[in-house]
Order: sequence, then C-alpha cells, then structure tokens
Amino acid sequence: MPTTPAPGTVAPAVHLLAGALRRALLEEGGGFRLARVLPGREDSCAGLAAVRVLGADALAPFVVKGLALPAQDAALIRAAVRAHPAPQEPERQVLLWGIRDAALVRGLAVSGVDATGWEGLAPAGSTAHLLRLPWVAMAAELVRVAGAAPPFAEEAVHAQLARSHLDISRGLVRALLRRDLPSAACLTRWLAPAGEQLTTPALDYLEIAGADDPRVSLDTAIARRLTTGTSP
Amino acid sequence: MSGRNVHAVALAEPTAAERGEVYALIGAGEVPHCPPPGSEKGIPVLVVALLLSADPQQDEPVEDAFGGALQNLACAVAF
Repeated sequence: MPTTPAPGTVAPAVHLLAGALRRALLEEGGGFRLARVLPGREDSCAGLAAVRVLGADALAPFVVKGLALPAQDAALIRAAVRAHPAPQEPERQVLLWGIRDAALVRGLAVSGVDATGWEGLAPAGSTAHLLRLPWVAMAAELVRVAGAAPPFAEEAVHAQLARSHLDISRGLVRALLRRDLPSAACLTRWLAPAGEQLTTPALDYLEIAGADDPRVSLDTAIARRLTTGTSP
Repeated sequence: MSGRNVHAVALAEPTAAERGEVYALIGAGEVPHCPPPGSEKGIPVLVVALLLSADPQQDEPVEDAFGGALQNLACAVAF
C-alpha cells in the first residue's frame, strides 16, 4: 500500500534528497543509491515527489562522477515521472516541464537508460530561446530551469551559453546583491563549465552563506565539481 | 537512443495537494523577497517566543506591548 503523506511533506523530502545527493557528490566512491535515501519505501509518495521536483539533478552523482545508475533507481525515477505527469497547460508550464524533462532524458541516456515512451514526460523543450532574452529576464528563466543546466545542458546551446556569459554573470551578481542565494546557486551552474573567474568567489560565498539550504548546497556542489573537477 | 529499458516500480497515487506542491516547487523561480543585510531569520520568532513566555504586560495584547514594537517586527517579517 503506498504511503500518502500529508500536504506539505514534499519540500522536506526534497531537502532530504538534495542533502543526500550533495553528500554523494562530495564523497569518494560509488555506493550511492536513490532507493536508500528516499523516505519510506520505494513507493513512498513524498520520495517520488522529491525525485520529480529535483528532476535531472537526482542523477547528478551518477552523471558527474560517471557512476552506473542502478536499475532500481532508474525504476524509481520512472515511477516518479508517472506519478507526477507533466501538465498539459498552461503553455508556460508545459514549456518549463519540457525543458526539465528533456534534461532528465539526457541524464538518463548518459546513464545508459532509454526513457523513450515513459508515461508522464513532457514533450522535449529547449533553453535556446531563453538565452536570447534580455539579461534580467534571461537570468530569471535560467533559475527556473536550473535542472537543465550543466551537466544536463543540451549540446546545441553550449556555444550560445558561452556567448551569454556576461549576461548570466550579471544575473549572478544581481542575485547575490539581492541575497537570493538559491537563484545565485542556480546561476553558478550555468556559468561553471567555462570556469569563469566570477564563479569561484561566488561559490566560496554560497558554500558558507547557503550551508543551511540543501538545495543551495547541492547546486554549489555540482557547480564546484564542474568548475574544478573536484569537491569543495 | 540506445539504452536499457526500465520498468516502473509499484504505483503510488499522490494526492491533489501533493501534486500541487510538486507543481509549485517546480514552477518556483527567483525568491521574491530576500532577507535584509545581516538579518537573522530566526530572531523575530525567538523574540516573540521570549515575550510570550515572559508575559511582560499582562493587561494588553502582546502585539501592542512596547509601543507596538512587536507589531512592527511582525510587519517587517511579513513584508
């Protein structure tokens, strides 16, 4: 019998999973299993919801460290997608979910899992058009689709991302000045692969100031791995 | 795309409230209101707790105590 959490239990499950993913990124070795982390049994609603909220980031330790994705974990992700299908409307939400789900499919493919035909996935979306927006709007949109940031970014936008570095950097500085740490952490993900000079001091700050927020810590841990290839 | 096929594990049927929470968390963007410089998010709560337990002005509502300072604090937290 599936467990049914009371309303308001998803966010704590997301934090729990984000914290475990961050630890898995920092630790050496490859013993991490999603199925061991999720609260309750593998059919736990809160656990599946957390996997759906984090999207491709649930694959971060496997993709960033090149670890094999266990079949049980792949099945959990598929169950999460089916339990929380992408919305059919409004268009803005469909686009958002499409970008996130395309990133999830890319992450699964890297892990050797074919997600073709999975029930609940949104039609694939692209971030290309977001990178043509004015910088404030672009940064806000990139925060929203941070699950599609490197290491899950589509290859087609890599060159576009490089050309948008100044604008994304402006967005990062703006987020830091607003003390919006979650947004700042998301934006470091988009800047990290180029090893931008700005990224390293921003990560130093975020690792301290955002230490009590597991999602900020997860984003900074991913960005740090992408920037330096090592753990903080 | 080549790769192994995966079968989903046991079905779980989330509640409408839970689905709503997932959609809200996925749709969340920038934080609309950020804490002011040097703020400690827990301090206002701690102050309220201390005042309530100390019951400093027994004849007036706690939010009116100290010339409304507590009410101002609550407003600062809200906005």
